[in-house]
Amino acid sequence: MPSDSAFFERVVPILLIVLGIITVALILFALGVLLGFVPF
Amino acid sequence: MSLNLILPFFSTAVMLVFTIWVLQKFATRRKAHFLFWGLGLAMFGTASFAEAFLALNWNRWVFFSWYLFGAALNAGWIGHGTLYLLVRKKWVHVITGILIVGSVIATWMMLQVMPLLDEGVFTTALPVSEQYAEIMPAVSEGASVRLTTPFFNIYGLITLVGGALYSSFLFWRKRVMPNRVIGNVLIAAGALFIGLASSLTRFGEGSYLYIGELVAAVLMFSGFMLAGKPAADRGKVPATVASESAAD
Repeated sequence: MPSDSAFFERVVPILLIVLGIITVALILFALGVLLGFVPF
Repeated sequence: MSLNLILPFFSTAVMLVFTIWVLQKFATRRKAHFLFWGLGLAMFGTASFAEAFLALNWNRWVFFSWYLFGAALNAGWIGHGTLYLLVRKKWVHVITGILIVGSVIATWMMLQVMPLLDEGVFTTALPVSEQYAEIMPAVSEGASVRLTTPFFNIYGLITLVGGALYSSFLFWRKRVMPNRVIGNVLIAAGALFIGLASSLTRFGEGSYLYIGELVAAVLMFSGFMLAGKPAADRGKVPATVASESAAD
């Protein structure tokens, strides 16, 4: 992995966090559908 | 010719190439994760083709394929492949059994819905994703198969997206195999793209599904290709990430 790479040091971790947040949000959304909070 | 007519054909073409590539890897390496990925991707491709077909004409069994493989099953099967890649425990086989039984049940439920479809409301003027809720009855009126989609999608989110993000994080933390860091980010992003697009269909915004599928197909294929490249620094791979490397 390139050392001192701004992409790998900054962009990648931010991407991982953002994608992780979206994943959790989608899981909660699907749970909401299952539990009836979100209509089919 | 509208975009919604063309996009599913492109998605189908990308998924066909992707599926064949993954199943060829299974044929040569006989690893379970390639099999489940291949089967899940074949389901994704079948659903894309079904969309392309339904943009031109109605066929109840093509609709059956679109809903069962596209809305219900494919995320769970693709994600299950990732579980096989990352977890080398015997209980994964138990989950396989549950997935197969769940898929059979979902298929049976979908067959129960077929006589209840309101085919008269179908129009080629709209994408099927914008009118499926009118074609299928409500859950309370017999379409209990609609209750299965959150299960498969949640499982797919946790395993496919969670697994890809976890893999990416592992390689990033160890500062090795940058192709796998980026490849797994692309896979996660692709899967989330289609997840977001299909979530919007529940709010009546089905027009984004087609572009979502094409973007997902391209991102995931790119990610798989990139992550699957041989590592130049394989000698420096720590044991904790070696299991994923060894799977190839």
